[in-house]
Amino acid sequence: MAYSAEISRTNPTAFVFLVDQSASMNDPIGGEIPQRKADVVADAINRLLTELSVKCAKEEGVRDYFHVAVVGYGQSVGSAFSGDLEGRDLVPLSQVADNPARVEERPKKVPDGAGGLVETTTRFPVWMEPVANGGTPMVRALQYAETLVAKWLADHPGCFPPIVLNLTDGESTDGDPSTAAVDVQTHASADGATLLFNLHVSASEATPVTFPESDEDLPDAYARTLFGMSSTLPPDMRSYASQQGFEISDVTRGFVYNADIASVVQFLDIGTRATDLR
Amino acid sequence: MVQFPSGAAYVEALQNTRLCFAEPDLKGAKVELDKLARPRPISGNFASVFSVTTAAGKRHAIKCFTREVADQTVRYRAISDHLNRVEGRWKVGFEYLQRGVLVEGRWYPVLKMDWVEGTGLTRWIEQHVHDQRALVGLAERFAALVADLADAGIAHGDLQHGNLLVASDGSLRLVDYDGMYVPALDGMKAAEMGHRNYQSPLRSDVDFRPDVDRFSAWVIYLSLVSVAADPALWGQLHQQGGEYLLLAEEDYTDPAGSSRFPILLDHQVPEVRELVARVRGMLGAPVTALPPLTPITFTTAQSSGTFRPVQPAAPLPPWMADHVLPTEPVPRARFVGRDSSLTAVALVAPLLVVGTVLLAVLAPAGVALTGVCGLLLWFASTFAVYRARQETRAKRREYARLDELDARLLDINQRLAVLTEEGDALAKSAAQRAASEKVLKAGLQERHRKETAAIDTEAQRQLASIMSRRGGMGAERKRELDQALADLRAEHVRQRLATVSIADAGLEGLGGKLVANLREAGIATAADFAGVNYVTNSQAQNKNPFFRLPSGLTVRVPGFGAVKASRLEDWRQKQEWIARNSQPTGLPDSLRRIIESRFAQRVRDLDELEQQVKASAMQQKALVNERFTADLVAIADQVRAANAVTAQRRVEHDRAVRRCHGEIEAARTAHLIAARETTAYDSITYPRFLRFAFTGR
Ligand SMILES: Nc1ncnc2c1ncn2[C@@H]1O[C@H](COP(=O)(O)OP(=O)(O)OP(=O)(O)O)[C@@H](O)[C@H]1O
Repeated sequence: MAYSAEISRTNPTAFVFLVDQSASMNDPIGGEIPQRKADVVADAINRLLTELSVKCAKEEGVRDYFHVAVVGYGQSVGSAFSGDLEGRDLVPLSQVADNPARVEERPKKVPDGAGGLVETTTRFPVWMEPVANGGTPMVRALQYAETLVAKWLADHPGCFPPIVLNLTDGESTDGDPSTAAVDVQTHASADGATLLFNLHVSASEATPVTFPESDEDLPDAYARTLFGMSSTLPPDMRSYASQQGFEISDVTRGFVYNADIASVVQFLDIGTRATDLR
Repeated sequence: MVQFPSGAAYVEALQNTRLCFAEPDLKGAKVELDKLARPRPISGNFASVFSVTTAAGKRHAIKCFTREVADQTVRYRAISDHLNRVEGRWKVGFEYLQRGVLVEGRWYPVLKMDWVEGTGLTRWIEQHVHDQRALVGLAERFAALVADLADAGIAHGDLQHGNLLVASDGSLRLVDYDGMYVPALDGMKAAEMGHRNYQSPLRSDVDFRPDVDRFSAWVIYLSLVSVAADPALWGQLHQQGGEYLLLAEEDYTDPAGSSRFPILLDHQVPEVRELVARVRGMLGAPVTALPPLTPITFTTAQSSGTFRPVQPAAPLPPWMADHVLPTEPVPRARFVGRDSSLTAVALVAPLLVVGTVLLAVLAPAGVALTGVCGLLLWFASTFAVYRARQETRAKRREYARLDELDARLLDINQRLAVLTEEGDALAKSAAQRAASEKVLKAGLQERHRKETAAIDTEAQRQLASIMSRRGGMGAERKRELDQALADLRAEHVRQRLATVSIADAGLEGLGGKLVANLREAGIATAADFAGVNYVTNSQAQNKNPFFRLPSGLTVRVPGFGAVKASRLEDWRQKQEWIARNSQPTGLPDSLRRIIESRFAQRVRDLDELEQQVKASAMQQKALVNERFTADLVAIADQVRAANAVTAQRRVEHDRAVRRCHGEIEAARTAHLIAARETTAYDSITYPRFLRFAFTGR
């Protein structure tokens, strides 16, 4: 059965994040406290890397179940890591875990369990800083991901298929990304084709859509294009998503529209949880 | 359904134990931190575990659940009740806390366990690979643990390296009771199916019974015993970082293609062979039919049991570094069992020699020759006896085995060479395929470009024609307006002239007769003729006037000569001039509007045509694009399928190569051992045999 390969140190897989860093990411996204889209997305990536590191932490440290690339696209296309990992593409997860650019002390109000709120601080590792500059060369970004994935698969023909996760606010400025998206998904391991998921961060007031099975309810053409580019969720991921309370069918796609901050993390979470780490 | 927090959410919450815990001793307790000074998790599939030390100095393992386990509370209560009634050092004390940890304002259960100071099984084996005694001890304790569980009616449900910790005194601790079976849970389904590298391929989640651990128990025991018997197996079969010991899921699901089974099944140590053969035999058996673990008794009964002591024959080639070889020097083979017939044969020899010598001195040559023949005959027969001796036969057998191993090595190497070729071919065909796909795609792109360009060119041509028509329209409109004005004016003049009668003009010399003649010709007013043409008469040398009628015809009017005609013409011209003075200066608005609106319609028609041309081009392009995308997707589908097939082949190929390497290593070891054994037969030679025949030594 496809999408059932073991993810282990001897059979690791690749996770490629594509992060829209175009000028439009400067725009605020709705919510009670408006935030810049670039901040939302950077936060999501940092959380995700934390989540992955925790998931793969064992007695002796973080294990290299995954190799991770964070690719930014805007003014240019390339690694979006800051700090020691700057300029690197696929990095073994243990190195990612040990080398955030910095660890931020974040003040946080948390419920005290008795109905009140108390102030506390949490340490939050940061690998990627928010950037918003230039156009949205999504086609080039997808081609970049394709190169990484193809090279990875040449060395790991039996791995769980690599996952490419694209976070964007919509419009590609270097052409229709659809065929580039199809091309990424032609690269396959013995366990299945590369998965491409999309997260559409939008300032629009339209209702958020999470894991839809058709583009009917999507409000704009960009969302529909991104939906069309997204892979259907493989069975394991479907069962996780439905465990999380999402309505899921066989044609559900790995796409989230106008996701608020919570569903950003949720989405990423499921993407990684879907794989049974053994 | 409870949605549990993620591992990272727990890491965040545990940064403040004063807030996140309700248990008095955990409130404010110290959490072990990682390199980033955040709580250090140890994560499994269902939970993240943290080390938390209370103010009193007691260390706990706090297990925070990231995934729902069906009926967790019920299960843990039953497990806890049952374990309280059971003895066992393997047990880890725990408490299931409903209000365990506060994350983002909600309470979640945790399992508060005693912290086990121990080393994970894999790491422990790595540290003890060469400590045969320790490994054998652990195997024995493991078997005892499995027996204890069975006696207590318990199954752990997920026996595997991650859940077995070895304490510093070598005793085993079992952690992770999520999937545990105790009798009170009978009838439930398994909460988890266990680690894939430790399960029978036939296990399913309905198998929740006291005997579900059997397969994993065999696998773990087999691994411990095998590594104890031959540490080289660890390096050979366990890939560094692999989530298994010696055997993994792929070996169980496809034993025929396994690279690991043959190495174990052909192993030189019989205990290993037998154990592995048993496990191999269990693969097709239903889970309920698996036998309980029965530990082996070790061949040499030393205190804790060790295998036949073995030592390498120096110097070892590097790939042999880890292989255990017989330690004692190879005992020399000797001839034994000199019976009387052999003694008798031996004794014939001196007689023959003496006889032959005597004959040579005394007897004629022919007789002496008989003696020599006898001697030769003796050598021949003793050689035959030597050849038939069991020691000699054993020597031949050893050498034959060596030859056979040589042949086997040759064979495997040949297979490896074939595989290498196949691998190259695979790479080459994949590269070729990729190249031809590129060409195909480029072709499609080119076609698409051409089709789009053709549509654009045609649309451009039509648009250009529309444009030029629109451009000419201004001049045309002006022409038409001018014409209308001219017509209007001409009509005005005509009407005016029609009111001026010639008869009333009273022109000099134009009497009633002439006026009548004019009327006869249809000319009564100034409007009835346009002018006069004069035609010169060649004979008369004078000019004859011809009146031009508005119809364009010319007529002669009797009585008119050139003079009178010209007077009439002058008059007419004056009348026309008078009429022109009152002609309209511009077009009346109504007329102008009619003309203008006709032109506006024509502009609109052109605009519409332009839109149509554009829309049609766009539609055609959309069709072309659609086809192009469909073609690309079709190619992509093919490419994806082909890529998947290539990947599959490569996986199989890599596996076959690994298998060959395994076989080569096994054959080399066997070869080395066999070669060593043959040295024992250096003493089995014909001269030695003769000495033995004579002396018995
Ligand atoms: N009481 C304990 N003391 C020390 N370490 C422990 C203890 N309990 C668990 N651990 C460590 O935490 C790891 C994960 O714990 P556990 O196996 O209970 O989690 P899980 O999510 O159920 O894992 P699995 O994937 O094996 O089902 C164990 O492999 C072990 O190294």
